[in-house]
Amino acid sequence: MRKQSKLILSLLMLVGVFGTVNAQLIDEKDVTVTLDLQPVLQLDMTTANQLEFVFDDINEYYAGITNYAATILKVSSTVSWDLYAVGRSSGATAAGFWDQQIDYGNNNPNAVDQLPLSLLELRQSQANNGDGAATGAFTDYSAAFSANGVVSRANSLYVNGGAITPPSTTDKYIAGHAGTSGTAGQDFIAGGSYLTQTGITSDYYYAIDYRILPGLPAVFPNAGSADGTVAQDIVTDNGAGAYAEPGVYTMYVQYVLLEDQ
Amino acid sequence: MKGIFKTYLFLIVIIISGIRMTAQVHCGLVSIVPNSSVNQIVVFDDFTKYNAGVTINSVTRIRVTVEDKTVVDPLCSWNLRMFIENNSGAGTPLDEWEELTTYGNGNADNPKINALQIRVRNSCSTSPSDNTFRSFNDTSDILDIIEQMLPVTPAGSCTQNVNGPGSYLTNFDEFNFDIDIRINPGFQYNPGIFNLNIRFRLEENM
Repeated sequence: MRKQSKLILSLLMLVGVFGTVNAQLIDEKDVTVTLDLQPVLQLDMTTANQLEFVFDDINEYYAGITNYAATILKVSSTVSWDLYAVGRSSGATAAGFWDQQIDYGNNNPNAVDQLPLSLLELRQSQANNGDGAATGAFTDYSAAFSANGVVSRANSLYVNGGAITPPSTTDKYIAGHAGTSGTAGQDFIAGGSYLTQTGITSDYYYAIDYRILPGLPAVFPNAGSADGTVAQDIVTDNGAGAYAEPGVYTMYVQYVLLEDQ
Repeated sequence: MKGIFKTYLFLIVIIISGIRMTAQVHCGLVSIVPNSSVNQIVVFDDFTKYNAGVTINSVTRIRVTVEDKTVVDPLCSWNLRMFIENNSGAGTPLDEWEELTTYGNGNADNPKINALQIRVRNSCSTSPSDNTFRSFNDTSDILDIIEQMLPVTPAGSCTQNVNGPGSYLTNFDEFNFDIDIRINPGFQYNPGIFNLNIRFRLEENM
């Protein structure tokens, strides 16, 4: 019995010796890389400080005034993005309407000072290639301006009561659209930059035309909701006989570039 | 009698497993000098970096020392390999960087491990992959700098696969490895802060 114990002890020692002496020699070093991907969204805009539409000729009321390529939008983004335009004003006259700076004339009761912001029409040079999930009749501003006498709301500016909030799936975006499907072409434009684009068109470069068509009488027949379903011309909103009060009005268009949402 | 037989059987199993777990040692010392950790932060905060990527040369240097035992064993040789870790135990997918935080809505994908490229170089081009950017596809990938179990190529020969005993102190061009990294994330990934760990492992060949 004692012999067996000795044998067991010596075998265990042998195992211990093997286990400690014969370990493989190893050394290690770690390099930890921390990646900080900061989001960069750049909207480079070339435009006049102020666009003036002066209607002082009867032809201009009939035909409207168009400012071609008055604004150039160039996008660089490291994330998937949407771009939209929204009509805004100070709301001094009423929320969602142009600000009247001065009025001309004698304050005829049919002369209305509340001109809807949506009377301004936009046309973008490049169709929106990120609007696959849009459900409205007009998903962007790429349609040609309609002939005068033909009522169309395909180009009327998106307005949300003067707020900056993004359009819905039925409204207009310049690029991308409402929703986060995660599928390219459905509701966003993938990250990229106009700097690396080739060819004659680009999803990262837009020339914007502006038009105001008052008509005669000046009722702005093309004013309407961005989805085109609701007419907002002066007569529809104020009744037969109403027309835009002569005067000076101001508003502004805000271009918003944001991560896809 | 039956008890004695069981004891012997148990001991034989222990001895055999003990022998299998260990092997003959050929070298006296293998070490990376210094072997302290390095943390490199790469910040992408403008378009130039996103467009061109960021390359950092010599993010670290792996300096190798391998010594013979007192009684020289001609089979003493070594290998050097790279492993990648992304804290997958915490749920990080095998092919992605570990997410520390995200900016924005996080609707896109987290960066893939293969966005990180690694280059190894030294003056003697001892690694077969010398001066070539390579990348891991997932955490199961291993990139060799000097492969395992190659025939012994002695120090001083300034050729590929030098893996005999030697030191960066005496053969700097063979036993020093400059490590470069390049990251070119493009525009498809979530903005945020992400982490990866490259482990350099120096072993003696068995």
